[in-house]
Amino acid sequence: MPDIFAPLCDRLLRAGVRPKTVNRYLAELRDHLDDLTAELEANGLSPDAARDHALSRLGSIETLAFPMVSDRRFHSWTARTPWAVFLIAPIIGYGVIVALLAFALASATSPGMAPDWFGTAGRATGHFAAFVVPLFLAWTLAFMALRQRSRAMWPLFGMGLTIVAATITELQVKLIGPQQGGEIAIALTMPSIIQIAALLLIAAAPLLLFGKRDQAISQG
Amino acid sequence: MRLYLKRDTNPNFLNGVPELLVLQLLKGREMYGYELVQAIKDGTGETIVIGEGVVYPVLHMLEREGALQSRRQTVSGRSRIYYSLTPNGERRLQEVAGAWQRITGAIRNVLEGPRHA
Repeated sequence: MPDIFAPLCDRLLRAGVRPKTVNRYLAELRDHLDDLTAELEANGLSPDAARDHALSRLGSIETLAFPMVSDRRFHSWTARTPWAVFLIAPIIGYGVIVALLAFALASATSPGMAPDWFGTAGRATGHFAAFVVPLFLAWTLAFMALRQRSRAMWPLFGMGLTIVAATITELQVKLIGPQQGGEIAIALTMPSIIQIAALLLIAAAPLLLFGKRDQAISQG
Repeated sequence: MRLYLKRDTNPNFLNGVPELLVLQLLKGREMYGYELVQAIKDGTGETIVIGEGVVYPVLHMLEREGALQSRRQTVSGRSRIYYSLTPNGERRLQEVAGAWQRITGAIRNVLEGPRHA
């Protein structure tokens, strides 16, 4: 049985209403509809007639959507300031994560003395910062965009920017020799086009795939 | 299936009246949405007819602004959200009711026409 509130849900999310607010609203509407239907059935209407009458009393989709669509206080930050959520926040997030990784590496060793495993840990952390972190951030943006039915432009732009930022930032760990000192640095490097293209493709795949599916569902 | 509306509704429902009604009806008594809509119907003698679902955005906004608080309670296996007035809501009710009385008083004066000496 199709969800009668699915079009309303889609309408609200596309207008930028917060998903949490939409979920609560729909849950209350479903309860209200059930109460109303039960009341009308108790008054002698058939189940189908009671349901139809209850729906008409609840209000049309536009009637139900209008108060939330027209009031920006119900809207999410992604709808109100997409540039901040999809562009600035992931760049800051990436910077903070890389700084924390560098700090964790520095904390794991004592000045002038690096344990044997430190070189391996340093390389692994560098790869983690270069590949895993930007993909994680990009997929987080894709998840937010899909959940809130955001237009693809801002999240795709944000993903691209995050990935470019990740490819020009390098967490470097240099060791002089075993049991000796070394250097942990965050450096800016020339970006690798292949790395950018590969990361972009992997990062944007879910947004493009699921986005097209959601579009097909909402149009169907 | 689509939702549809057969009855005429009050298009200006969101222009302060619902807030006043909700605050007044929740004064001293907590209610969930369905109860509140029934109370509005009963209290206004069905003069104010609304798409019943429209009361929820009003409740959500009043809660967000601190005028209402809500709690979940499971009744007969169904989770309900009960709303009640906060002290902030009590103050807001006084303000809104005062403003409403001034407006209705002014309109009444106009409807009664000019008084000649």
